[in-house]
Amino acid sequence: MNSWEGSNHILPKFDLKMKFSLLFFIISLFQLQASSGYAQKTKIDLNMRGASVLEIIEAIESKTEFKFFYSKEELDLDRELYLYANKQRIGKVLKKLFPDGSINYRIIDKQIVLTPNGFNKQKEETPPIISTQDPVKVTGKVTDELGNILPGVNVVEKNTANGVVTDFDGNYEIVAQEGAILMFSYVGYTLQEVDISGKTVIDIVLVPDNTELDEVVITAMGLRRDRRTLGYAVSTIKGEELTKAGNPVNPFSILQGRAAGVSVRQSATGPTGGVEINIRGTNALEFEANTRPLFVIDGVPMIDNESSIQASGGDALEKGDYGSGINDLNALDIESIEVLKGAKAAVLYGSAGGNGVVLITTKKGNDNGGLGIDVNYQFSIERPRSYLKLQNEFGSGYNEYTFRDFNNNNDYWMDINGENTLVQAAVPQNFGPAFAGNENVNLLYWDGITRPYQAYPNNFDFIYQDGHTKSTNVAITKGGDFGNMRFSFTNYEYQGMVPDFFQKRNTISFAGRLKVSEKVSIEYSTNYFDIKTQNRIEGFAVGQVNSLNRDAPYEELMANEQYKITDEFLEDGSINPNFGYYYHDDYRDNIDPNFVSEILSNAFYPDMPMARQFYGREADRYVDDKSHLIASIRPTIQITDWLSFTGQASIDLTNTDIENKEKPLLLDPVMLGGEYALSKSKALNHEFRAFMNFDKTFAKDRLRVFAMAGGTFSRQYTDRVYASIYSTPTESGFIYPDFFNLDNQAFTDDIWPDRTSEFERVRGSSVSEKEVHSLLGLATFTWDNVYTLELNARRDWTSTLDPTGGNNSYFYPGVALTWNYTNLAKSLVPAVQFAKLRGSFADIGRDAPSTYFAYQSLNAGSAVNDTDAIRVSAQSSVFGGTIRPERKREWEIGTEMNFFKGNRLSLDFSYYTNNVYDQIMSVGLTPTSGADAIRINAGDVRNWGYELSLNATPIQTEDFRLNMNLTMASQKNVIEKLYPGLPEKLIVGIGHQVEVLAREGERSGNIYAQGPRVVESGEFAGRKIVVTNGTEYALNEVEETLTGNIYPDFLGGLSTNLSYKRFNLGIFLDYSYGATLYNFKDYVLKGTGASVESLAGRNEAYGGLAYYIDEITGEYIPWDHSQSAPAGAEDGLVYHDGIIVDGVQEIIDNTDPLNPIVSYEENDQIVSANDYYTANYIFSTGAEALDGVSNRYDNDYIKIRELSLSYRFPPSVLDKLNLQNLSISLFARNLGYLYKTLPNFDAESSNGTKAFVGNTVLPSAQSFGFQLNLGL
Amino acid sequence: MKKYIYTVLTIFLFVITSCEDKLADLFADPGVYSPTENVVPGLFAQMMSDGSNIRDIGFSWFRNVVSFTGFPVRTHVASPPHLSAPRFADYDNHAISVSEIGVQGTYTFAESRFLELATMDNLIDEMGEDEKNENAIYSHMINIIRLNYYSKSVDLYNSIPYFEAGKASEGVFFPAFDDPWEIYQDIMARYKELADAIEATNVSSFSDKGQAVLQTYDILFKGDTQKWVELANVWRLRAAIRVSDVYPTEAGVVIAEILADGNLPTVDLVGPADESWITTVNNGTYKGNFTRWNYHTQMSPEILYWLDADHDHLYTEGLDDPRLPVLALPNREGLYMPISYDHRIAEAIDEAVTTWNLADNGYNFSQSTSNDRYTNATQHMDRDAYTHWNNYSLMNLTEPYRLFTVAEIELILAEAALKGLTSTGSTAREHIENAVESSINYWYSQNEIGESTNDSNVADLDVDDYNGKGVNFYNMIFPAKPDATAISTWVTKVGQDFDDAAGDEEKLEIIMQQKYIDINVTETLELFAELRRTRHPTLGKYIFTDGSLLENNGIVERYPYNSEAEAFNSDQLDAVQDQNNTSTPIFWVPASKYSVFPYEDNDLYYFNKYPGIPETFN
Repeated sequence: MNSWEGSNHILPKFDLKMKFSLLFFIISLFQLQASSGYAQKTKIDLNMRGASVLEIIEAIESKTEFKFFYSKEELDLDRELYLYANKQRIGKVLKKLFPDGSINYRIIDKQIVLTPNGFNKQKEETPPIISTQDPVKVTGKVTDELGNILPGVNVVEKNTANGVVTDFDGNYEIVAQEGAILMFSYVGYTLQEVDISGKTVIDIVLVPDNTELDEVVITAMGLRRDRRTLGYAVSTIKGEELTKAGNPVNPFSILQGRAAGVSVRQSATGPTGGVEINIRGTNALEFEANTRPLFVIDGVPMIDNESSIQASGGDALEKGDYGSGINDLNALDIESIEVLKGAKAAVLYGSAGGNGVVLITTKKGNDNGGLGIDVNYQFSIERPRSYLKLQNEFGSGYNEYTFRDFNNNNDYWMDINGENTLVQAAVPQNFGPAFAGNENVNLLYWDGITRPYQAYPNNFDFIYQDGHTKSTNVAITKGGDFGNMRFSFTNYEYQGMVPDFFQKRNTISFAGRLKVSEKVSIEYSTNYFDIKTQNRIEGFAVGQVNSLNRDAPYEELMANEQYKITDEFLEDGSINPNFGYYYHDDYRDNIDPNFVSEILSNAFYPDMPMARQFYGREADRYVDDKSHLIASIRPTIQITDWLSFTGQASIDLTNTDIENKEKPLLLDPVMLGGEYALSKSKALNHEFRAFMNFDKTFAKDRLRVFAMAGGTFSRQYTDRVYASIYSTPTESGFIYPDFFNLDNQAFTDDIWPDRTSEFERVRGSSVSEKEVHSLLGLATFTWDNVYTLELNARRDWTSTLDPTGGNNSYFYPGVALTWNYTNLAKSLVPAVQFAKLRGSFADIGRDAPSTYFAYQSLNAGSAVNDTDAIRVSAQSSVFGGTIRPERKREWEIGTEMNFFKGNRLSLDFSYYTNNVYDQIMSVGLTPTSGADAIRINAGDVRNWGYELSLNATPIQTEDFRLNMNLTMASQKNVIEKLYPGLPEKLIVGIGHQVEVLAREGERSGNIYAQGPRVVESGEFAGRKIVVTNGTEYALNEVEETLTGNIYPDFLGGLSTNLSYKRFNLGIFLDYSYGATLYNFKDYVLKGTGASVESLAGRNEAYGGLAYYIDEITGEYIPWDHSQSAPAGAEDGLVYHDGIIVDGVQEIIDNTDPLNPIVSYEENDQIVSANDYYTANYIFSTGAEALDGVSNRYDNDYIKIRELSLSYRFPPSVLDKLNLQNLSISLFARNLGYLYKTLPNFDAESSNGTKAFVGNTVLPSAQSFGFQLNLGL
Repeated sequence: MKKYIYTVLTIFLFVITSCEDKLADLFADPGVYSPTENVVPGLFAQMMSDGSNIRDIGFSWFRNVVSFTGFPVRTHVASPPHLSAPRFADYDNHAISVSEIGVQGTYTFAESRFLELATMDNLIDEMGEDEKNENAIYSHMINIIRLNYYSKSVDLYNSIPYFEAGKASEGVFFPAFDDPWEIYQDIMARYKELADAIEATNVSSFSDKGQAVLQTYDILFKGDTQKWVELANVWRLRAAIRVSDVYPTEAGVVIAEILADGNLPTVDLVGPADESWITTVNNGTYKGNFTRWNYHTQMSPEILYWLDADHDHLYTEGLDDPRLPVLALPNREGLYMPISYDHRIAEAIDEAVTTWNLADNGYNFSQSTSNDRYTNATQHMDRDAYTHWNNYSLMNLTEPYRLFTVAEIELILAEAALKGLTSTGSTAREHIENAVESSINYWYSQNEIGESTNDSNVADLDVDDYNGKGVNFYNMIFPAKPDATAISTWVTKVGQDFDDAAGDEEKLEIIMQQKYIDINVTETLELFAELRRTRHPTLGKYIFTDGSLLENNGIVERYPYNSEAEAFNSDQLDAVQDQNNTSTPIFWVPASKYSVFPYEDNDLYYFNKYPGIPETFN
């Protein structure tokens, strides 16, 4: 150790990166030899005395994955010999087995082809001894289902020793007797026999044979494990499934239903926005807690975060839903996605894997693969699909008499240039006169043009356009002695459905394995993404919905180009103080500026999204530019036959620049926008790992022990710097209006005092840094490939918890047991091909939900104005002792079974139950207690559920194959404990009307809402109480009603594949049942009278009641539709849009304040349709008066997610084109719903990740496209 | 080979174990600077400069009004009826439900305004004797503010959590609701304890640094601890008179004790002359500029009626209250013109206001927060048909703000004398005369300060015939203070009216009218409490759009508990749910007055006697 003491003095000066560099450098000095390929890696122990060649071959096959191919007739397999091999490679063993050179052997990965010496040549030169017909030469190419070439396929003339093997390009050439049968065999594929009669070219597509079931899956820490020995559930989604219907903008947006128990929901912003991903319904009692799984790409833990369109509210630098790092991934580069669902599966990832882990493996090369070039091109159209049902019978206004001029006191009459003029007032209400019968009414619109009063049914659709996606990918793979590599470049262009919204991506993926020496190899993976996005969809606030007046001809209004850019300089050379975007003079001259202001203030300002939507989008640029690098290197050193070292250094680095250039839009006298904002941020994940691996068999190979132990170091760092300059509603903040630079600030001081939030500030910065250090280990014991016991342990040290007293450290164990009971099952049910039972337990920990959540401090603030008194503030939360790590304890059992030959039917079932306890949360307190909240470890939520995956191939013939895969998952939970004395916890609320509450003994995610008050007893018991003015029900503010749950009861998907010869038709459906959604924009559409649902009661035909208004009392008096107004009716009018709310009126006599007397009577008050809808639904913003019990929606649906039709060109065509493969497919995504319960909106119209609120009218995108795959 | 293995393992272990210190470093948030010096004074400054607390110590009148979006305060205080015009639509049912109160959560009895208090006390506890001596005073001072805040909460809600409040750090998360009388008793006792403790603190024994720190950090009185003692006493006096109808003996004892201590202010207790430290609270949006919407700045008809005692819409020395010109700005015609409580009229005005042609035919205008006082005043004079408060008297950027006037002390003593609670050393009439004289002086002094610290364009005000209306603008804004004789005449008149009043209720009416005039909009919550307690002065009543009157006799006895209590302390709240309404009187309302309501039947009470201009709308 003395020699190391000296090092200790030196090394601490190095930072950690340097330490690891040093570590790898030292390792590289070992000059160990590397190995690669199955044949190279696999060591064989044999000690067989007096055994025949055949017995030895069978022994090798049973011990390894090697498969021998030979003709019994050609070889002497009965020869007996003594063979001893101690951890020798197959080559040496074969040399011993066939020492005289009489047998040629060829090792192609796991296949060993045995032929008599000179086999191929001899067959060509010497015709068969027995021949009734002439020999013919047959050539062809062998590929797999996807058109990939298959080298090394055995092609043997049946019942002869005549055979060849396909070359690296999958081609073969064989001379056989006319009429003979050719047998094509390949490991992992079903044997095919073809009659060669009359054919000289036979191309073969081999179909995978699932009976082998030696599937290797990637598990935690990138360990490749035989699925048969896994004690927990892992779902695998192959890369080709992701790209079957084209290369999606975001590979995760189409995962829904593909893996049981994984819920994926896209938000209303479409594929460039956030995707909600949730494994096993992970939920938390802390709304801010991260419930997303850990994403790991090629061993690199990715930076990931929640995102939401809501963020775009007032934040100058949050103009949309930015998604997260996983949005960047390119599906074409993904080999497979493994989802580790349970705690046991993820235990090696420690805190980060508490919500499950999504392992993404990118495509690599193949050591034996030679050179391959693949090209993929796709083009698709994104078509806006709105589910809105807007009425087109009534226009703007409050009632049928809107056009009457009552004392010049009406929104529709204005003094325009001295004349009382009927104008399109653009009030949000659509309860105006019917279009029918008013065709002759002409309105002055705010562009100065008079138009007839009519509906513009497509005025909403006008806002959106068709988008498109173009993707070109070139991938080059190469294998050889050096190892392998794959280089892929993708250019991706996404044009969204809103003008000027695009995303352009260039992606480079470079990955493979480098054989340094026989014992040292290095796997490397680099993914670089350069992504530029402009004008993301904003979270259009209420303004857009309020502007959907049916008589608003937006297309015409916009086509007029009313706006223009004014000159920067006046004639005298001075700067034009009004330089910018102006209402066009030509139109302004025609119209009273006050009118414009009035219109704008009604229609747009301050809810200006529509104005910005129309004008700003063309002028403004909100650009985020992202450079994202994910890279890792992973050296492996084979120290001994049974001991190896694996290291890994990885980085996920994202630099994002956001630049918002918002031109001042002067709509005299109001100015909209006018802002320049710049933000630069960096997010960095570093991780270093080092493991020793042990792999050895004992007890005559019956017991295999695999163990690993090591440590990881991970660091997450983010920073952000931002600055902005801005205008006020009346004054430009720019010196030069079109010059976007921070130095171009007109105001020298903070003239916008309301800007108080962090994001609204003019400048600021933030930094966050976190480290987790870990030691972990795993040991698996497999007996006879029947029983497998797996033990895990991990200890983390995190910087997010208080280090005093070792509180920042926590340990978690895991254990799993597997029983392969195929033989037993087969004896009972012969159709069984494979059967496994598995069970596992794990107890994992998690650190604080955010980096500094557990840090208690006093905070020095600014000096009290004009004094030297420096404020010191305390946190508004108190701490219930030191925060400990939270825990999740999970039990899981499951089974996998395959039935019938070829595994025509298989099922995978899991049942799990877990308790998430000691959750780190902030519990709201009554401020009277002296704190807003307490941060504590509390709560115990029990979750349980099942996951089922069923795969069936009901039809399989030579040409026709139907495969169906169904996934289903259901989760339930109960909050067993909250905190002593705390009956409930508010998770999130929308106003006071709708709240997600956690209550002891109830399900997590329960939504409570205020509903109508009802009469408790007496004559009117059970009747709803109507508010005094009769428009709506009085809300019960004391007791909330359980209205649903934010999580679905069950969800899943159904994938159907139909192959006929070279055609493949894929249909993918997914479904969700049992979730509840509050759709506020739907309420707004009703409240403003724009939706079809708001037609009831509008007029006599729609069931409206007749009434007149008493001109003295203002009361609404019932009347008859056909009678004219009586004397005393206000303005002599009879109205026909009366509604009486079914309920009772509450009469309170408060003469004695201590003993009020309450009585009830039937409600008979007539209200107008306008008043009714305005009062019962949301008219403007918020949910102030919403009856959350009546206005809830089930969000059940069955969605047609994907449809694809592909065709693989035959080898005859390929040969002519000199291509390895060529396929073309047509696809469509998000076609629509077979069933949905949410009216008027897409079931996936939530605000963003973790949302149960619909708050946008954005249409969803339907994609139609084609893709072309070709291999050179 | 073993060498290699050991080498790898050693390096590995070294790397893993060498990072422990880093974890501890990273635990701290780099965005937070935790101070080591002047921590207790800093916590005091934080709590003092909390916008909510400033609001509650008497400053920033319109926050009391504006932030109370609900109906009752506006209805019951001396602010104009128009204040609630925007909300009229919500009250068409003429009754007030829990949600319509609208103030839930706005004025919470939330200890969170004193978040730092527990930390402060803990820090002081851990200090050595010398250090403790110099720091304990900050706890005393902030506790005086806190008591005032709690007494106001009782005045609004009745039972509130008090004895267990603010103890989250001690593990009390669900404080019980306490009996309001017990709270009041404790508050009155604690005021005395705190005043005594401050009086006993020998600041001169502080270190030089300690004294300097106190002067710096006591942003209210700049280290003048006597003023803190006086503040505790006046608020204690207010508490005593509040309970005097129900607990006259206890109130008398407390008042006698206060008078015996001799620590009542002899001059108006006001904030620092330079109150700019307050102006940036909440980014300066309520820095006291008298610039709010028209609803908030028009004068209530009652106060105008009392001030314009001869009801001729003009100020006549000797016949009218000398405070008329200093408190009120006449309309564009130079007349003092009240506005109506009739909502039909108010609605018509609203519509007039919302048109863009105000300058031509509008009847009132909206004062703009972005205008200076000069602009607002001139625009008012250009346009408005109604009387506004004189914004040069009420608010200024740098004027000392009102904490407690001598006039209010005298009015409290007048009531004490009237009821014989204790010997005050003077008669009730003498007290009320002192009050009126003091109030006149106070408001003219405020106006004078307004002039001296005026906007740069004050010279422009000197217009003899403003706007061709025959109005001297300067004199309108800065009326000359009547001479001593004129003041004395008026003071005597009020005293005589008091003597002439038929009975105690009539005399109380005069005391309360004077309280309304003196306090007016500067502290509306105090008037709201006094109105409910005394049922004086008599006010007009709202008339709704359909011509009907506010139900429930127009009075809201208390506020429903805020939503936080329901959400986070519902078990404790259950114990007081029976009073969680708007109709249960606060404990200090004498039962004999439960059925007494301080409203005339309708608006016509004042309007017929003192008509404004609503005929325009008829």
